[in-house]
Amino acid sequence: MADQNSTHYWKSLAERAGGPDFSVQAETEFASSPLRSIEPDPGRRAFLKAAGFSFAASVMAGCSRAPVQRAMPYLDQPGGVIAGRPVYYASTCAGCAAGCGVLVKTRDGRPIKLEGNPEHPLSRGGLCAAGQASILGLYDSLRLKHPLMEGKQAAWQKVDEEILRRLKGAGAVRVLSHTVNSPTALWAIAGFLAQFKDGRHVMYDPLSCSAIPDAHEQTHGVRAVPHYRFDRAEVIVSFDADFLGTWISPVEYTAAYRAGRDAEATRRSCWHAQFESRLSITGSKADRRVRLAPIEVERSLHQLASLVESGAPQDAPPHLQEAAARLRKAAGRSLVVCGIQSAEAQVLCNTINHKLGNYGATVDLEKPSRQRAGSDRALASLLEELRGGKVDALFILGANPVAELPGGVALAAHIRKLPLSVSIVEREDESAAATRFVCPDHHYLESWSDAEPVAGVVSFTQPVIRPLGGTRSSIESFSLWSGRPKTAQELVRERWSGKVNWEESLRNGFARIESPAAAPRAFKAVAVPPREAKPAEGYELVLYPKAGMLDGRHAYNPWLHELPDPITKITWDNYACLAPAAAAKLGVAEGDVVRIEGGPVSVELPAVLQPGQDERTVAVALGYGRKASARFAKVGPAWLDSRGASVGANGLVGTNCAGLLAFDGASLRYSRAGIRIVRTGRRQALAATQDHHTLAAPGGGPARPIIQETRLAELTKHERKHETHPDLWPEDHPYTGHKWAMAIDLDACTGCSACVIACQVENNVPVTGKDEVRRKRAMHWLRIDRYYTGTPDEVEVAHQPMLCQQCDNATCETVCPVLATVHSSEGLNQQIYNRCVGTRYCANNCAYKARRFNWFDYPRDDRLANMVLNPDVTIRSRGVMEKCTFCVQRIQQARLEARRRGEPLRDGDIRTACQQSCPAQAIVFGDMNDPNSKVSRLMRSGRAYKVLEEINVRPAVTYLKIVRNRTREGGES
Amino acid sequence: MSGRIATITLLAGLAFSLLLFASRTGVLHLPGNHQDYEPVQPIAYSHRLHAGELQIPCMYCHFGAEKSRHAGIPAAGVCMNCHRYVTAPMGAVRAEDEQAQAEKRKPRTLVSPELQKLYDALALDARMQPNPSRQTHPVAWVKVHNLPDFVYFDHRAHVSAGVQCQTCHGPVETMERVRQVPDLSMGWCVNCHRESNRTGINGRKVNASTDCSACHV
Repeated sequence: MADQNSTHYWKSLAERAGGPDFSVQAETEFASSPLRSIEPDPGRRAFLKAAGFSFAASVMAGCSRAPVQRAMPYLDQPGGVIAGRPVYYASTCAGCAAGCGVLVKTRDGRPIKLEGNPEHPLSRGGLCAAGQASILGLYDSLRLKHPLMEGKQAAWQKVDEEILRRLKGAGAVRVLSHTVNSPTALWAIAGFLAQFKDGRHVMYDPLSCSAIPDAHEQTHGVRAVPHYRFDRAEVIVSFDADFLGTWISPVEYTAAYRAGRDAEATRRSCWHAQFESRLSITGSKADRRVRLAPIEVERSLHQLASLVESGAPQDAPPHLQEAAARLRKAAGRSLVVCGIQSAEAQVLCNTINHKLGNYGATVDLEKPSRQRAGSDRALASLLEELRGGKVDALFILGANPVAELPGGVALAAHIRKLPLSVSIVEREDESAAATRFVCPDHHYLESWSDAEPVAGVVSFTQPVIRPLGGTRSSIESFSLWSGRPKTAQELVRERWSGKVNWEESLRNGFARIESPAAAPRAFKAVAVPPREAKPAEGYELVLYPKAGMLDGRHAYNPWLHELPDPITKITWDNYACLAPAAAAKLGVAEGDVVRIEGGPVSVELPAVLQPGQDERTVAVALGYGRKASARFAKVGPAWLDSRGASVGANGLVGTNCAGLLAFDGASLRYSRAGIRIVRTGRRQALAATQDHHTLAAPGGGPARPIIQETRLAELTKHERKHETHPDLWPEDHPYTGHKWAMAIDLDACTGCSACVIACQVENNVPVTGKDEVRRKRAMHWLRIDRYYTGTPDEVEVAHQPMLCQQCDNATCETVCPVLATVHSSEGLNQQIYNRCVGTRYCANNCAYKARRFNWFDYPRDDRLANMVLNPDVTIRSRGVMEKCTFCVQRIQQARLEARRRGEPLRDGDIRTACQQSCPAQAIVFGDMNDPNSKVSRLMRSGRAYKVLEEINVRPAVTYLKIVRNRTREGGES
Repeated sequence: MSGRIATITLLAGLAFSLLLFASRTGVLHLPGNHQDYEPVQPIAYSHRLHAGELQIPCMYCHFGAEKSRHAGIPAAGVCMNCHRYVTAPMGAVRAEDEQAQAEKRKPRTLVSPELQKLYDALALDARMQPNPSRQTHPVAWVKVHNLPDFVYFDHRAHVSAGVQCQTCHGPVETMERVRQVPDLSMGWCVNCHRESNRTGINGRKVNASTDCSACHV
């Protein structure tokens, strides 16, 4: 077992260094008892008093009469609605512009969970963390419920009259929005703007890709973002494009990428090289990852272009020569993507793809993507007009330019001067505070809409609940201001009548249409001047989006703040990532606050040592320091709020770094050279989970083969040879019926954390707040352990979803004094909350550290937010242990439904929440007693192994080894 | 001194056994046991009349029991299937008919006060037409059979296994006002699950799980 897995994996630099401090930390299951830190050990008398009081209190509570419960039936029950039975509606996620298909699960009229729509042609059943979490936005009690006029609540009629009055005679009217890919909304906006002499709709993206259409305009004569087909590519070379994490359409790309890399299914594996400055999710999956400063990434692209063009050896480094050779060999089946926001770089990327014959194969320009339609040039000219006072009316639709763009404060001042400014948003954000009118938009689960994320694919959005507040769909607002008031439903329906089968499309959630194909003209070579490589002074800054938080539009969402970043594993903050070598040179330790100087503004952020990052680069996440996060000042257990808030000194979560974006008028750039990093001498505690719940051997013992890998060349077709350890009680559990098991493919897992949030929504997992996370008390039932191997400079990464392993010889079960955790006849470790007395023995004895303890009753006083709770899962109270149940409520539902229909349970009927959400389909759940089930087949795979198999607890979760695309000598196959 | 301790011990023992005895005989219930709970309902609906005398099947109104975790309380619309036409007890209507014939006049429409509450909930006027000037309001029935929040119970599983409604709900068809008959304790549930696995239900073999997670999820 250990011979081919001798690779040593570690979770943090502290673990790699070892030492007594780390061992003590790692072996302490519970960081501290809250009682211990509040008062000294209670004496015997104090204990007896407390015990007597608790006993009396529980007796008193038992004597009181149970509250009278009311049951209110409908007056007139709508057809198809049965109390307690979920109804699913197909819709489209609006968490970003990628347009993934979702199925909205509604129970008794309220949506409680989003599931990926497996039939959707783009997302193919996956849904990302931000999409999963977007349902909480519906039940956000701070969402606007009424329109505002000059900051005061007003009636819609009044607001509309006033807006229309001020629009009379207006010349220059501008609508500013993020990418809108809803044909109906675009039509409504165009209809509205057509009334004016000079009406224009300006779209921009805070995570801009505007250089891509700019370059295609030059090379192909069409302004479009191509639809990248990662599934057709056998060689992928990416320059700073985090396409598995946050770039354009990560769910779709992850599904496609996985399809192309599933070596066992396709008998081939696509080779992927990543040139990047910081360690991204995509970089963590690459076969060949090259870390370079941003300026060198661009230079490498130049070199690759000339290598592909001429094949001349030049002075290119070997990794580029290798990439070029592989690309040329796979011409027409390869793909080069580039995330650099510079038209020249994108022109080079287009040239390479053209030379390789990738257009029409892996790069589809005829049916382009509409997931990023923003134009930075248009934005620049609008900002210029605003500065010059040439705009009469500005409508901001769903965007927050004041917080998202550099120079936000000045922009807010310009907006304030306008005679008419309207924000059409869900929350009163930084920009809405600067506008005269705020017209609250529906949440997408309340509204009719549509989306055309890729030409030819229309995805529909239908309301699943009546609007909870006095909001109005933006489509309706624009059609009303155009003088043709119609409901959004009418408009969407009219738009598609005769083009699609309405009923069927609504049921499916999408339709394919004949879309007028963009007609790219033949490739025109555009000369790009070679970049002189002047060594930059100081550091280079990279601004990046985090999975989940993205551009900051989800800053209101506590689930996403508490989601550990897939790479750094830090929650509730943004920070300055530095390479360990750079930090050593600067004399900075993790948590030291540094000032980043060199841009128009300087920001102070805690430093984080990030292995695998380029040494001249400092990376900072965007999307933090938003007004929407001010609400988290008191998140977490109520009586502890004085002990460390989840917000910083600015009263917000993290620091807004949009001011550091470079905007040269042509494109928003996410890197900036000439940065100085200055120590401030202060420290700021970070809530990192990477060293929590570690499975490393205690006392710095020998490394355990927790992560195992194999090589592509060695992929065996043999079935797994089971190492049978003797069992003391072979007949203890016969498992005559089902025996539930799970298989997790570590090669497929990208660490995107969609499963973590899916589990949180499904199982009512509470949010604990930053201070509690620091005390190892984050409640996620499913965590993703991220491991490194290599040196602190050059790392390879492995992601491992870790959850209760439902062991057959479970260590937790034997130590529970009250039998609150016992084995089921189907192999589950049941956790019975009402039986648990909270000794925490089970958690101490769990080898996988998969159990979570409720130190508190986590606040559930927001009645609106409670609507999202899953009524099939118990809310755990204080003093109770909890853990992953393999979504036992879903097992029950599927079984009872099968029984009702009189049919046997089929493989695939039960899908756990994490499995359902996974874009890469890395998780498979099923019955291992059925030899033909998918999970049984995977368990027999040559890649199958179990974590900590040597301790013979017989876990029900099988992991599949990572496949590394290289030979034994370290070269690549 | 020792005599006093003995007295106290004896008294405590007596009190304890009395308490135990009382809870066994049903005079006093332990906390959480709501056996014999018989709340007053907002409309004095009689299961004895509807389910007993008129033999309306349980599933006519509680149709969710077959398909869902909840049996459901019927919407007012279900009542109106009959009560659009039946507005008062048969005897009263017949008496009115006879009296009207005797007095040679058209019989008056009788509306029983309990049914009037239903019509009020639906905001219907005397001709059974919706009255837009009045507000509708749902009928707030009082739940009789309550389980703790940490228990998952699914009607569909029991109905499809062939368990009679009366097994858990008692002879509802004889009750004027519904009363909780069994104590609905965990022991009571588990006993039935064990018994059914041994004897089957209606001669059919069943698989009633005794795993904790069958009810505690």
